[in-house]
Amino acid sequence: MLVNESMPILYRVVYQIYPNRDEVYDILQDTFVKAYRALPGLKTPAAWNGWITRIAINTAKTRLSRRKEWATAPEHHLFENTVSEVPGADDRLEAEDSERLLSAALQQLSAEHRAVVSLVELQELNCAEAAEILQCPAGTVRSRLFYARKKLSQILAPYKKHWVSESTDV
Amino acid sequence: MSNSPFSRRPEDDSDADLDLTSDPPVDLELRDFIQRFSVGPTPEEQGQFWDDLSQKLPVQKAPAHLLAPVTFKRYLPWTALASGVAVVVLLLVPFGENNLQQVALSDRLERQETLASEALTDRDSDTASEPMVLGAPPAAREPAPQRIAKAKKAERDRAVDSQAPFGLAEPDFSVRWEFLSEKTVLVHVLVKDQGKLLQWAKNWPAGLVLTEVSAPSAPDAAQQLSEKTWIYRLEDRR
Repeated sequence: MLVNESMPILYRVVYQIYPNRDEVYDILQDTFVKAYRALPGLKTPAAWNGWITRIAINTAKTRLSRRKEWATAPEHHLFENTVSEVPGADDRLEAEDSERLLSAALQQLSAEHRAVVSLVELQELNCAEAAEILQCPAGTVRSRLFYARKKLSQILAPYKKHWVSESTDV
Repeated sequence: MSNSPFSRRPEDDSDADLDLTSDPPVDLELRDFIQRFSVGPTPEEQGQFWDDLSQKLPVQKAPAHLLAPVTFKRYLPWTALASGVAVVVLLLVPFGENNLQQVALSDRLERQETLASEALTDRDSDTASEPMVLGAPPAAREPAPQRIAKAKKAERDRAVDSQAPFGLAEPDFSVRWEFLSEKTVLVHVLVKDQGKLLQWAKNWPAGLVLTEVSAPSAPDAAQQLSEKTWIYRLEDRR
């Protein structure tokens, strides 16, 4: 069913923009209710993914704009308080630590930069597709993507060698 | 600057000589990290999501009273038809055969009572909310608690037995596929089946990459499994 298939993907996208499980759950509930009401406006089934993502992001944007604390620049000290020290040379970052690290790093970006990262890195959309969802020029998306990647790479660089990196290439 | 989190920021003006006419090249390492460690829904949230959503979706409910115009109009034609049939039967019976007339009359009354009781039964089953499925056919007429329990079980079965991606055949062990995108899927497998998964992966076509994401996690309550699961990430790089 569309709801079951779309929900996990949308959850990850919205959580990166608004990292609060209760809020994300509510946002997704509102998203699907809005989608149900607006279903006659969906032109083709193939457009479902982009369409439902746009509704989800707009719903998250509306909530964010009401919370004035999200409008201010990120506090850098939050990162140090959230993430423990860089592991020792032989230590590995466990999955939970990596999740926390990524979440804290993303919080060093503004909401609109996080939205670009979610769409391009998580959903693997190109900048033009992301621009259509965010309703801004593709050039703006490219600029924000460049800045976000640069910032995240700087923050995550000390932890890189500790990531779990086992893979099986068949 | 406005307080909207989506207004222009100073960093938008940096790197003024950046080429904005084409997409920047993908940073595979960063993308890999983001996809592997982005936070997804818990099994409890996934299991509960549809139940909560179905309470919020608008559902047509039957009228509360038997004599409400919609119900009355709905069953009036059938009642009239049954009465008409009974009248025809009565007319065909010759005069003087009182026993037959009495039988026809009692048959007619019985039919009307049956129709009325059916109307009541249909109304009662409609008072419970019915899960609304987008694009799916209507549910069969069963008592509401049984329908909801069946829908929940079907959801769990679908989550466990969803189709294998990328043209792979269905394995002979339990696997849960969680789609992140068209080319990326999380693979949830029981600890006891980890060896089977890795053995199976050796026979996959080239270009399918399986990466371990996390060590055995807590038991998955949504699937009612009592064992821990391994999570792998499967990418189609073909």
